Amino acid sequence: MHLEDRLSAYLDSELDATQQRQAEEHLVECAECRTELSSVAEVRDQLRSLPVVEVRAGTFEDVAEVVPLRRARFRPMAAAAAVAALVVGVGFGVAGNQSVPLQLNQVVEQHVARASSDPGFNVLQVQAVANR
Amino acid sequence: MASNEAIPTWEQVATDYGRVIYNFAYRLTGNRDDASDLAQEVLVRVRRGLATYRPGSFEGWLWRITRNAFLDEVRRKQRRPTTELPAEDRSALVTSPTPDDVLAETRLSDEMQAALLNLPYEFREAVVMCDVVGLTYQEIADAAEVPVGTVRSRIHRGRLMLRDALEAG
Repeated sequence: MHLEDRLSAYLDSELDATQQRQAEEHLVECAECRTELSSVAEVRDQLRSLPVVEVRAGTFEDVAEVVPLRRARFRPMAAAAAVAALVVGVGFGVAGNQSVPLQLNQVVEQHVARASSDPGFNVLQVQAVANR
Repeated sequence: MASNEAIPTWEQVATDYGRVIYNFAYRLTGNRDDASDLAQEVLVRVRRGLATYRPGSFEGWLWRITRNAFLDEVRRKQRRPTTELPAEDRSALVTSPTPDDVLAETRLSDEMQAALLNLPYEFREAVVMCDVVGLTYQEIADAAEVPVGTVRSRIHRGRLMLRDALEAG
Protein backbone atom coordinates (compact mmCIF):
# COMPACT_ATOMS: atom_id res chain seq x y z
CA MET A 1 0.00 0.00 0.00
CA HIS A 2 1.45 3.32 -1.11
CA LEU A 3 1.38 6.65 0.67
CA GLU A 4 -0.64 8.46 -2.03
CA ASP A 5 -2.08 11.72 -0.65
CA ARG A 6 -0.04 11.33 2.52
CA LEU A 7 2.94 12.27 0.35
CA SER A 8 1.67 15.83 -0.10
CA ALA A 9 0.66 15.99 3.57
CA TYR A 10 4.18 14.83 4.45
CA LEU A 11 5.72 17.60 2.34
CA ASP A 12 3.40 20.16 3.89
CA SER A 13 4.06 19.02 7.49
CA GLU A 14 0.37 18.14 7.80
CA LEU A 15 0.91 14.66 9.30
CA ASP A 16 1.01 14.02 13.02
CA ALA A 17 4.22 12.64 14.53
CA THR A 18 3.17 9.00 14.24
CA GLN A 19 2.03 9.35 10.62
CA GLN A 20 5.21 11.20 9.74
CA ARG A 21 7.40 8.44 11.18
CA GLN A 22 5.36 5.80 9.35
CA ALA A 23 5.68 7.74 6.09
CA GLU A 24 9.45 8.02 6.49
CA GLU A 25 9.75 4.28 7.18
CA HIS A 26 7.67 3.52 4.10
CA LEU A 27 9.75 5.83 1.91
CA VAL A 28 12.91 3.97 2.86
CA GLU A 29 11.36 0.76 1.53
CA CYS A 30 9.34 2.01 -1.48
CA ALA A 31 11.09 3.39 -4.58
CA GLU A 32 7.74 4.11 -6.26
CA CYS A 33 6.67 6.44 -3.44
CA ARG A 34 10.10 8.09 -3.43
CA THR A 35 9.74 8.85 -7.13
CA GLU A 36 6.25 10.27 -6.65
CA LEU A 37 7.41 12.30 -3.68
CA SER A 38 10.18 13.80 -5.78
CA SER A 39 7.90 14.80 -8.64
CA VAL A 40 5.22 16.21 -6.34
CA ALA A 41 7.86 18.19 -4.45
CA GLU A 42 9.07 19.67 -7.74
CA VAL A 43 5.57 20.81 -8.71
CA ARG A 44 5.07 22.21 -5.21
CA ASP A 45 8.31 24.19 -5.47
CA GLN A 46 7.30 25.58 -8.86
CA LEU A 47 3.92 26.67 -7.52
CA ARG A 48 5.54 28.36 -4.56
CA SER A 49 8.00 30.10 -6.87
CA LEU A 50 5.32 31.72 -9.02
CA PRO A 51 5.96 35.46 -9.12
CA VAL A 52 3.81 37.66 -6.95
CA VAL A 53 1.58 39.77 -9.16
CA GLU A 54 1.23 43.34 -7.94
CA VAL A 55 -2.24 44.74 -7.51
CA ARG A 56 -3.23 47.32 -10.10
CA ALA A 57 -3.22 50.81 -8.71
CA GLY A 58 -6.67 51.92 -7.66
CA THR A 59 -8.16 48.44 -7.42
CA PHE A 60 -9.34 48.97 -3.86
CA GLU A 61 -9.47 52.74 -3.68
CA ASP A 62 -12.83 52.84 -5.40
CA VAL A 63 -14.58 50.29 -3.20
CA ALA A 64 -15.95 52.94 -0.84
CA GLU A 65 -17.28 55.17 -3.60
CA VAL A 66 -18.13 52.96 -6.56
CA VAL A 67 -20.40 50.54 -4.76
CA PRO A 68 -22.82 52.01 -2.24
CA LEU A 69 -23.67 50.05 0.85
CA ARG A 70 -27.18 48.66 1.21
CA ARG A 71 -29.63 51.51 1.06
CA ALA A 72 -31.94 51.76 4.04
CA ARG A 73 -35.60 52.65 3.63
CA PHE A 74 -36.51 56.10 4.82
CA ARG A 75 -37.08 55.93 8.57
CA PRO A 76 -38.23 59.05 10.39
CA MET A 77 -36.21 58.56 13.57
CA ALA A 78 -33.11 57.68 11.62
CA ALA A 79 -33.59 60.80 9.53
CA ALA A 80 -33.87 62.94 12.63
CA ALA A 81 -30.72 61.35 14.03
CA ALA A 82 -28.93 61.99 10.74
CA VAL A 83 -29.86 65.66 10.89
CA ALA A 84 -28.62 65.82 14.48
CA ALA A 85 -25.35 64.27 13.39
CA LEU A 86 -24.99 66.89 10.68
CA VAL A 87 -25.51 69.63 13.23
CA VAL A 88 -22.63 68.39 15.34
CA GLY A 89 -20.24 68.63 12.49
CA VAL A 90 -20.53 66.03 9.78
CA GLY A 91 -20.20 68.28 6.81
CA PHE A 92 -19.95 65.95 3.90
CA GLY A 93 -22.23 63.42 2.30
CA VAL A 94 -22.25 61.14 -0.69
CA ALA A 95 -24.30 61.81 -3.78
CA GLY A 96 -23.91 59.30 -6.56
CA ASN A 97 -20.26 58.44 -6.90
CA GLN A 98 -18.85 61.71 -5.67
CA SER A 99 -18.44 63.28 -2.28
CA VAL A 100 -20.00 66.74 -2.21
CA PRO A 101 -20.44 69.20 0.64
CA LEU A 102 -23.94 69.40 2.05
CA GLN A 103 -25.70 72.61 2.93
CA LEU A 104 -27.23 72.09 6.35
CA ASN A 105 -30.19 74.39 5.77
CA GLN A 106 -31.07 72.51 2.58
CA VAL A 107 -30.91 69.18 4.35
CA VAL A 108 -33.22 70.38 7.11
CA GLU A 109 -35.65 71.83 4.59
CA GLN A 110 -35.73 68.56 2.69
CA HIS A 111 -36.42 66.55 5.80
CA VAL A 112 -39.11 68.90 7.00
CA ALA A 113 -40.71 68.80 3.56
CA ARG A 114 -40.63 65.00 3.62
CA ALA A 115 -42.17 65.07 7.10
CA SER A 116 -45.25 66.81 5.77
CA SER A 117 -46.13 63.72 3.74
CA ASP A 118 -45.07 61.21 6.38
CA PRO A 119 -47.47 60.96 9.33
CA GLY A 120 -44.92 59.08 11.40
CA PHE A 121 -42.29 61.79 11.15
CA ASN A 122 -41.65 63.94 14.18
CA VAL A 123 -41.46 67.46 12.73
CA LEU A 124 -40.87 69.08 16.07
CA GLN A 125 -37.82 66.95 16.67
CA VAL A 126 -36.20 68.07 13.43
CA GLN A 127 -37.13 71.70 13.96
CA ALA A 128 -35.79 71.64 17.49
CA VAL A 129 -32.49 70.39 16.17
CA ALA A 130 -32.46 72.90 13.34
CA ASN A 131 -33.21 75.81 15.65
CA ARG A 132 -30.31 75.15 18.04
CA MET B 1 -7.04 35.59 15.06
CA ALA B 2 -8.17 34.87 18.60
CA SER B 3 -11.74 35.32 19.78
CA ASN B 4 -10.78 38.64 21.41
CA GLU B 5 -9.56 39.96 18.06
CA ALA B 6 -10.12 43.54 17.09
CA ILE B 7 -12.35 43.61 14.04
CA PRO B 8 -10.45 45.34 11.22
CA THR B 9 -11.84 47.99 8.96
CA TRP B 10 -12.23 47.09 5.31
CA GLU B 11 -9.38 49.44 4.53
CA GLN B 12 -7.14 47.40 6.84
CA VAL B 13 -8.32 44.22 5.11
CA ALA B 14 -7.43 45.80 1.76
CA THR B 15 -3.98 46.73 3.06
CA ASP B 16 -3.24 43.45 4.82
CA TYR B 17 -4.90 40.97 2.45
CA GLY B 18 -5.46 42.83 -0.81
CA ARG B 19 -2.35 41.55 -2.52
CA VAL B 20 -2.84 37.92 -1.53
CA ILE B 21 -6.52 38.03 -2.53
CA TYR B 22 -5.50 39.53 -5.88
CA ASN B 23 -2.87 36.83 -6.41
CA PHE B 24 -5.36 34.11 -5.47
CA ALA B 25 -7.78 35.59 -8.01
CA TYR B 26 -5.08 35.93 -10.66
CA ARG B 27 -3.95 32.31 -10.33
CA LEU B 28 -7.55 31.11 -10.48
CA THR B 29 -8.59 33.25 -13.45
CA GLY B 30 -5.33 33.70 -15.35
CA ASN B 31 -5.84 37.33 -16.24
CA ARG B 32 -5.53 40.69 -14.55
CA ASP B 33 -8.91 42.12 -15.50
CA ASP B 34 -10.82 39.26 -13.90
CA ALA B 35 -8.47 39.30 -10.92
CA SER B 36 -9.07 43.01 -10.37
CA ASP B 37 -12.83 42.64 -10.67
CA LEU B 38 -12.84 39.68 -8.30
CA ALA B 39 -10.56 41.27 -5.72
CA GLN B 40 -12.69 44.41 -5.75
CA GLU B 41 -15.87 42.34 -5.35
CA VAL B 42 -14.33 40.54 -2.38
CA LEU B 43 -13.53 43.85 -0.69
CA VAL B 44 -17.06 45.09 -1.33
CA ARG B 45 -18.41 41.96 0.34
CA VAL B 46 -15.95 42.36 3.20
CA ARG B 47 -17.04 45.95 3.65
CA ARG B 48 -20.68 44.90 3.82
CA GLY B 49 -20.00 41.83 5.92
CA LEU B 50 -17.86 43.47 8.58
CA ALA B 51 -20.97 45.16 9.99
CA THR B 52 -22.30 41.78 11.08
CA TYR B 53 -19.01 39.90 11.49
CA ARG B 54 -18.48 38.43 14.93
CA PRO B 55 -14.95 37.63 16.14
CA GLY B 56 -13.95 34.09 15.36
CA SER B 57 -11.88 32.71 12.50
CA PHE B 58 -11.32 35.89 10.51
CA GLU B 59 -9.21 34.15 7.88
CA GLY B 60 -11.79 31.40 7.47
CA TRP B 61 -14.48 34.05 7.07
CA LEU B 62 -12.39 36.06 4.60
CA TRP B 63 -11.50 33.10 2.40
CA ARG B 64 -15.09 31.82 2.38
CA ILE B 65 -16.10 35.25 1.07
CA THR B 66 -13.30 35.11 -1.49
CA ARG B 67 -14.16 31.68 -2.87
CA ASN B 68 -17.89 32.42 -2.87
CA ALA B 69 -17.25 35.62 -4.82
CA PHE B 70 -15.23 33.63 -7.34
CA LEU B 71 -17.87 30.90 -7.67
CA ASP B 72 -20.62 33.51 -8.09
CA GLU B 73 -18.58 35.10 -10.85
CA VAL B 74 -18.12 31.73 -12.56
CA ARG B 75 -21.87 31.10 -12.38
CA ARG B 76 -22.61 34.59 -13.69
CA LYS B 77 -20.38 34.02 -16.69
CA GLN B 78 -21.87 30.60 -17.33
CA ARG B 79 -25.25 32.30 -17.68
CA ARG B 80 -23.69 34.47 -20.40
CA PRO B 81 -21.74 31.87 -22.39
CA THR B 82 -21.21 34.13 -25.37
CA THR B 83 -18.85 36.30 -23.31
CA GLU B 84 -16.81 33.35 -22.03
CA LEU B 85 -13.80 32.20 -23.95
CA PRO B 86 -13.76 28.49 -24.78
CA ALA B 87 -11.67 26.56 -22.27
CA GLU B 88 -9.15 25.52 -24.89
CA ASP B 89 -8.51 29.16 -25.78
CA ARG B 90 -7.85 30.35 -22.25
CA SER B 91 -4.23 29.35 -22.37
CA ALA B 92 -3.82 32.13 -24.93
CA LEU B 93 -4.39 34.57 -22.11
CA VAL B 94 -1.26 33.41 -20.37
CA THR B 95 0.90 32.57 -23.35
CA SER B 96 0.37 36.09 -24.73
CA PRO B 97 0.85 38.24 -21.63
CA THR B 98 0.57 42.01 -21.68
CA PRO B 99 3.84 44.02 -21.64
CA ASP B 100 3.48 44.55 -17.89
CA ASP B 101 3.20 40.82 -17.34
CA VAL B 102 6.29 40.05 -19.38
CA LEU B 103 8.53 41.72 -16.83
CA ALA B 104 7.20 39.63 -13.98
CA GLU B 105 6.60 36.23 -15.49
CA THR B 106 8.82 33.54 -16.91
CA ARG B 107 7.99 30.88 -19.46
CA LEU B 108 7.87 28.30 -16.71
CA SER B 109 5.34 30.26 -14.72
CA ASP B 110 3.24 30.71 -17.85
CA GLU B 111 3.22 26.97 -18.39
CA MET B 112 2.27 26.44 -14.78
CA GLN B 113 -0.48 29.06 -15.06
CA ALA B 114 -1.86 27.37 -18.17
CA ALA B 115 -1.79 24.01 -16.39
CA LEU B 116 -3.58 25.51 -13.39
CA LEU B 117 -6.36 26.86 -15.57
CA ASN B 118 -6.99 23.39 -16.94
CA LEU B 119 -7.46 21.86 -13.49
CA PRO B 120 -11.02 21.22 -12.34
CA TYR B 121 -12.00 24.06 -10.00
CA GLU B 122 -11.91 22.22 -6.68
CA PHE B 123 -8.35 21.00 -7.34
CA ARG B 124 -7.17 24.39 -8.60
CA GLU B 125 -8.63 26.12 -5.58
CA ALA B 126 -7.04 23.70 -3.10
CA VAL B 127 -3.61 23.90 -4.73
CA VAL B 128 -3.67 27.70 -5.01
CA MET B 129 -4.87 28.16 -1.44
CA CYS B 130 -2.10 25.87 -0.22
CA ASP B 131 0.86 26.83 -2.40
CA VAL B 132 0.12 30.42 -3.44
CA VAL B 133 -1.84 31.78 -0.48
CA GLY B 134 -0.11 29.61 2.13
CA LEU B 135 -3.17 28.40 4.03
CA THR B 136 -3.04 25.26 6.17
CA TYR B 137 -5.18 22.25 5.26
CA GLN B 138 -7.55 23.12 8.11
CA GLU B 139 -7.91 26.71 6.92
CA ILE B 140 -8.65 25.48 3.38
CA ALA B 141 -11.20 23.01 4.77
CA ASP B 142 -12.88 25.85 6.70
CA ALA B 143 -12.99 28.09 3.64
CA ALA B 144 -14.23 25.39 1.26
CA GLU B 145 -16.49 23.82 3.90
CA VAL B 146 -15.20 20.29 3.26
CA PRO B 147 -13.38 17.78 5.51
CA VAL B 148 -9.61 18.08 5.91
CA GLY B 149 -9.19 14.66 4.30
CA THR B 150 -10.89 15.99 1.17
CA VAL B 151 -8.49 18.93 1.09
CA ARG B 152 -5.51 16.59 1.42
CA SER B 153 -6.75 14.47 -1.45
CA ARG B 154 -7.47 17.49 -3.67
CA ILE B 155 -4.05 19.01 -3.08
CA HIS B 156 -2.22 15.79 -3.88
CA ARG B 157 -4.30 14.93 -6.93
CA GLY B 158 -4.08 18.52 -8.10
CA ARG B 159 -0.30 18.46 -7.91
CA LEU B 160 -0.19 15.14 -9.77
CA MET B 161 -2.41 16.55 -12.52
CA LEU B 162 -0.13 19.57 -12.79
CA ARG B 163 2.90 17.30 -13.01
CA ASP B 164 1.27 15.30 -15.80
CA ALA B 165 0.26 18.46 -17.68
CA LEU B 166 3.75 19.96 -17.43
CA GLU B 167 5.37 16.72 -18.58
CA ALA B 168 2.94 16.46 -21.51
CA GLY B 169 3.43 20.12 -22.46
